[in-house]
This record gives sequence, C-alpha cells and structure tokens, in this order.
Amino acid sequence: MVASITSDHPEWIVGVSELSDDPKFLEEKTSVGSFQNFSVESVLFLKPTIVFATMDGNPKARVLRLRELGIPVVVLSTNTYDELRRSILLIGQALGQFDSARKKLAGLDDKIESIKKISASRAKNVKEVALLQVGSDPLVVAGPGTFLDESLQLVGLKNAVPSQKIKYPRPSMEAILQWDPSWIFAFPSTGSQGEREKILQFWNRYPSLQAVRKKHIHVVRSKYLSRPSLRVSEGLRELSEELLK
Amino acid sequence: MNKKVFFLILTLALFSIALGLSVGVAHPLDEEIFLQIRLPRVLLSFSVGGGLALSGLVLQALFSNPLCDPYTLGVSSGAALGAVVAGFLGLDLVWLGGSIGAALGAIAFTFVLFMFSLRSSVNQVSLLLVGVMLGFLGSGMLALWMAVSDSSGMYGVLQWFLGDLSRAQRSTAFLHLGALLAAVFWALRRARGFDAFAFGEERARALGISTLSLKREIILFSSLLTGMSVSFSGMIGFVGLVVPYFARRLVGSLHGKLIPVTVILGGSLLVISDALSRTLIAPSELPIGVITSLFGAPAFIFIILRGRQESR
Repeated sequence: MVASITSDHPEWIVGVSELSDDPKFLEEKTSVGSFQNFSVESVLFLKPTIVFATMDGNPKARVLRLRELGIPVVVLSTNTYDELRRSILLIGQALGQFDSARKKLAGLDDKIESIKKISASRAKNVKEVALLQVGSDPLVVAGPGTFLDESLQLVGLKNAVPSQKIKYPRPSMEAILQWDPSWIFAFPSTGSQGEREKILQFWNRYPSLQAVRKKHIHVVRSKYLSRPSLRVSEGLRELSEELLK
Repeated sequence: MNKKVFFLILTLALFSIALGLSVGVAHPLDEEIFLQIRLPRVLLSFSVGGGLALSGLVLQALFSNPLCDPYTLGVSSGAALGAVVAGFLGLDLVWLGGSIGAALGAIAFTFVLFMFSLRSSVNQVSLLLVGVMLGFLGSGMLALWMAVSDSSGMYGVLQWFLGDLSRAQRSTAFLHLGALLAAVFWALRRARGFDAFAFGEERARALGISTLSLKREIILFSSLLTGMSVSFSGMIGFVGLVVPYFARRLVGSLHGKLIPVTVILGGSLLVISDALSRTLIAPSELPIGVITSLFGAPAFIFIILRGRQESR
C-alpha cells in the first residue's frame, strides 16, 4: 500500500517485511523478517525516517519497542473499507504525498462504484448467501464485520455466517450444512494448484450443499482482498465476474 | 569445586556473552544497535536464564524431585494467562518492556499456592499436585482463549507460549538482574536448608531447619522470579528443568556450590539460545522456546544415556 502511494519514489522504501512482492521492485528491498515476527534490530539498522506498521499481525510489543527507540511509527489498519481509505490518506499525509494519495483513492472509489452498479444489476430480490473460506485446516471462515464480508456486500451477496463476536470463526460442517450457502469463495494461502484442488475436493464431499450442486465454488486468484490495498478493486472485479458467469 | 570446572564455567559464560553481543543481523554493528538492542538482550537473556535455572533448582530441592521446574507450580501458565486476558480486555499495559498482565497473573497464581502452603496439613506432594493442577487450569484457559479468538490474537498467545526476548531494554535487564542477585543472595543463605530437604522433610526438621517457613519462602521467591521472567520474556521451558541437572553433574549436590553454577549455566544457555534464535532464520526470529527445546532435549537425552552407559 505504501509502495503504491510512493510509486514515483521507490528509493524512499528502505526495508519491507518478508514476501512483499507488489509492486515487483519490493522484492529487491531489504527484508526485516516476517510481518508477524520482524527483527527490531533489522529495522533499527536500516535507520528509517518513518516506519509503517499494521495492526493486522505486527506484534504490538515490538512496534512499541520501535517507538521507544525513537523511530516514528505510523500504525495502519485495514479491517474495513473506511479504515483502508483512512490508511491511504494517512500514508499520503505522513509522506507529504497527500494530494497523490487522495487522487489514487478517488480512482479506487470510482472503480468500486462501477463494480457495485454491475453487481446491483444482477442482484435479485433475495440476496444470495455466500461463505468466505479463509483457512482449510482447520476450516476458518470470515464472518460479519470483516473486510471480506464488506467486499461480499459490495458485490451484492450476504454472508452465510450469522452475526457474532468472533470475526473468523471455525464452524462445524453441521453449521455450514445448515446455512447452505449458494456460493463458496475460498481464499488460498499459497494459491498453488495442489491447494486449489484440495479445496475443491473438500467441498465436493458435501453434494447436498447448494454451492456444490450449482458448481458455485470459486478459489479466488486475486490476493488483493486478503491484502487490502489500492488494488482491492481487482479482487472485487474477480468476485463480480464470477457471479456474472 | 575444582579449578578445572570453575574455569570451564567461567569460559562458557564469557563465550556466551561474547557470542550474544557479536552475532546479529546488523553488519557492521553500530553503537546504537549495540547499546539499545544487543546489550539489553544479552543481559536479559542471561538474567532470565539464570533466574529460571535457580527457580528450578530450589523447587527440585523442595520437592526432592529432579523433574520439577518453574512451570510445575503453574506460575508461568498464570503469567501467560494474565498477559492474554489483559490483552483481550485492552489492558495490555507494558512497563519497562514487561507485561503488567503477566506479572499480575503470576502473582495471582502464586497467591493461591502460597495460601495452600500456609496450611500445615498440606504436604509437599499435595502442594506439587496443586501446582500441577493450576498449570493445567492456566493452560486450559489459554487453549480456550485460542479456540475462540481470531487468528491475530492466537499468534499473540503463541508468542507468549514460545518465549520472546525482543522487548529487552536496559532498564528491564538491570531490573531483572537486580531481582536475580537478590534471589541468589537469599538462596545462598538457605543453602543448608536445601541440602537438608534431600533427606526428606522430617529429617530436615530434625536437623533444625524450619521447613514450613522455608517451604513458603521457596514458593514465594521461585514464583515471583518465574513470574517476573515470564512477564519480560514469555514462557521459556526446559531451562529450569535441565540446567540444575547439568550443574549437579559438574559440582555435586551441595547447594553452596550448586546455586552460583546453576545460575551461570542457565544464563549462558539462554544467551546462546537467543543468539541462535536471532540468526538461524534471520531476519525473522525463531521463538526462543523452540531453540531451548529442540537443541536442549536431545542433548539432555544423550547425556542421560551416556551417564547410564558409564555407570554399567
């Protein structure tokens, strides 16, 4: 997200968390460790002017340690589309690129609006129900109040998971059979062919499910819904196009 | 303790500290990283390792059981549970890099144990069992929390379960070192009492040891030291269990020599483990509890088997 806002100044980025690969030039940058287990020493060694951390996985104690060491840290959160918008503007403000960030955000909002209109044109009176699978072993789904749930609503679907405190519950198969979603969107961790086949094989064991009978199981290719950024519209477009097939 | 053993232990301690200070991601090393990251981390590792080892030693003396360690009495589970609950309630306050929630959790579990120890009808076996059950209770509650929490919360619990020294600051390290030195001073003054416990509580009493008050002191000191360690570093297993064993192999069972050797060995082991955790998959870090278990357990098994072969 930071890289897409500073795309005119790739040299500003001196370090990234592991597996940062979008845009491509981030693969050449120094890694400071995984985002859940980064090295404080690595960050300090790079002598950054500012660090962007995330509430979605960065260990709080280590982020606080960076602040104690005198490094300005901006903590971002992308649990909702509003938080994503605020984070984009915050990055822009922190880097003196507010106008650029605002323009890019406006572009994103336009794309989301057009996807919403397309989705609304296919929506029937009763909203179809979908399940968002985010983990396979154990089976974990995205419930109401999550970014993925909001994405589902933008394409005109309703979450099969009823409202509850746990945002990413691990439901039993019994519960899923009762909910009987008409769509299942699976978000694989690696995206490998093997993983995709495994996911499809798993669901095909339950032919009584509407989604299985109608062949409405889609293993999402786009990573942009799982990693919210300015390219989130690409993920929404994939969902929308799948619904229109 | 003969000179050879003394020299060996001292060399190990110096080697571990030198290793801990010299390895890391930053090359070349600058003053800020050395003073703000490496030095506090090495000091805290040494202090926590020494503290856990000392805690294990005195508990093994109390229960006359070499399988006792700081986790036996459930205090570390209490500390981890305290940290997790505090985080869940949005009260995960940190002071000097240590979790206040963890400290309170440790104190709560210690209080329960201490109240049990006040009862003269509660013998060592009963006390040990209460501690084990408290440990199961704490672990069970942590597992429950993991089952109902979101994945980001679960990772936070795992970090507590597996140990993390990345929060080390100089103030933290010196505070813990101070507590360790106080505990060592206390333990050395009670060395005779620990030696007497080896013959059983009744015989120890016959030797003039006030076993009831010593029992309470051991619970209090070891629990507070363990709680403090967990508060700063999460749960690091294995050190309190096996370091006293290695120390006995080197200098025998008299606690006057055993106490300082155990502390130095425990500290050195954890410093080396921390150096490995920081470098094996750099720039990411392995949880330190993984290192102490993965390397320590096979080494321990090897030493025991070798010891059995030699005794045949």
